[in-house]
Amino acid sequence: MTSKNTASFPFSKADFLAKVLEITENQDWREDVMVQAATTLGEPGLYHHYFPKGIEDVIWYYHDILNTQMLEKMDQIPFDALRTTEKVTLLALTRIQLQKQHCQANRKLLKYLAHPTRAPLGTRLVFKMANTIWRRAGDTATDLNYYSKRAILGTVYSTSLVKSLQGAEDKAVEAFFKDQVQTIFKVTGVAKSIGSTVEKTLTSIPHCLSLLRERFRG
Amino acid sequence: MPHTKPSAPSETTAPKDETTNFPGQPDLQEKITEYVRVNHAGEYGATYIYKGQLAVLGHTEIGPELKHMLEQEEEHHRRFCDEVVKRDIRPSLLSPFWRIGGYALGAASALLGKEGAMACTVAVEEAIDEHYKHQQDLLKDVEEEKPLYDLVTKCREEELEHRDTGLEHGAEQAMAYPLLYKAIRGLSEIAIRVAKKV
Repeated sequence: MTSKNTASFPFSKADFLAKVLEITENQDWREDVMVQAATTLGEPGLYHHYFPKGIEDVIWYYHDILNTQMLEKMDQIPFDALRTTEKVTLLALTRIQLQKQHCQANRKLLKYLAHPTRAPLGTRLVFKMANTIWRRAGDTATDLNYYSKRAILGTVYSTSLVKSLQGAEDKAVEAFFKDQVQTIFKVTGVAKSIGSTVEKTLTSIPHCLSLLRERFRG
Repeated sequence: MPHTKPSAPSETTAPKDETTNFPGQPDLQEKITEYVRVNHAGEYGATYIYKGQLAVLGHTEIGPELKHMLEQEEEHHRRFCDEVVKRDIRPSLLSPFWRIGGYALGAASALLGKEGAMACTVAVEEAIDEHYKHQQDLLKDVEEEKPLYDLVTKCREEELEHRDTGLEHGAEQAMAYPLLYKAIRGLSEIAIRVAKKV
């Protein structure tokens, strides 16, 4: 098998993922799902070429597709005219809708990722999703806010996704998402003002010490 | 359940060309990512070192000199902020630590006197100079990274100016200078290693 020429392959990565999503509507996410999908598509060994790390690679690929589709949908609307929180909300809800298209497969995927040994994979997927949303919304944070924004969005997104996959109405999911975001931003606003007061107090200490030092010297 | 076929994204999971690197050896882009992250964190820490020094020595004759160096560090930090955003690089998770640690180091060294503050400047700037030199060696032949090479070169030149300013203002007359220098330089080198990854 040549490594680069994929023209003669009986199926593409996208075909393979579509088949995996179809199978996982009824079965759990496992390595043997890949064999089933590849066998159904006519080339049992080919998935190793596309996804050398197995099911983990397929999940990454699926999430990359979700991120790409989410961004593409924003090209169809006057996205840049929105405020930052509106952009974040719209992007997140759009992505939830995309995941909901394969409701059972995504419920089973959450179950797969909920295993403690897969926590790092789940965290990285959520972090990449949150980063994609914040960057598209124009975020330029380069300090600890970079992490806090992504952690907050990742948490709110995950809980909203669970609610959506449990069969909640879209309006209810939207209201839940907005409510969670507002609550968290209120709490972080209070924490920020406390932090800046503490910082002002601490940064005044060296100046006081230098004045004391001069007085004793003088 | 409607089954929509996903559109093909970029082949993000395609195996990398493994002929260019030994296993475990970071490729050029990984190295650049680490360098930009650590430069950004380092310049952030440096601005807080000077802020700490200014809090103690701002009203003395060395104040304008410290203010000038702070302005240059702020400009370096701003430029690396742009690089972090442009390249979508994760900034250092320890940024609050670099901020508090930088400020504390600057203030503590300044409390030893002008010479102490300058000894701190010399030690930190020499560690940074060596770090920037490695980057220049890496980037000098990479045509598409010329703007980053130029930025690193500019920063390195200004860091060396700061070191010279420190020496001109009596860094070597600081109390226990060799010990102070080694301790601060060692801390700076540890910080550089940590900020590359975390």
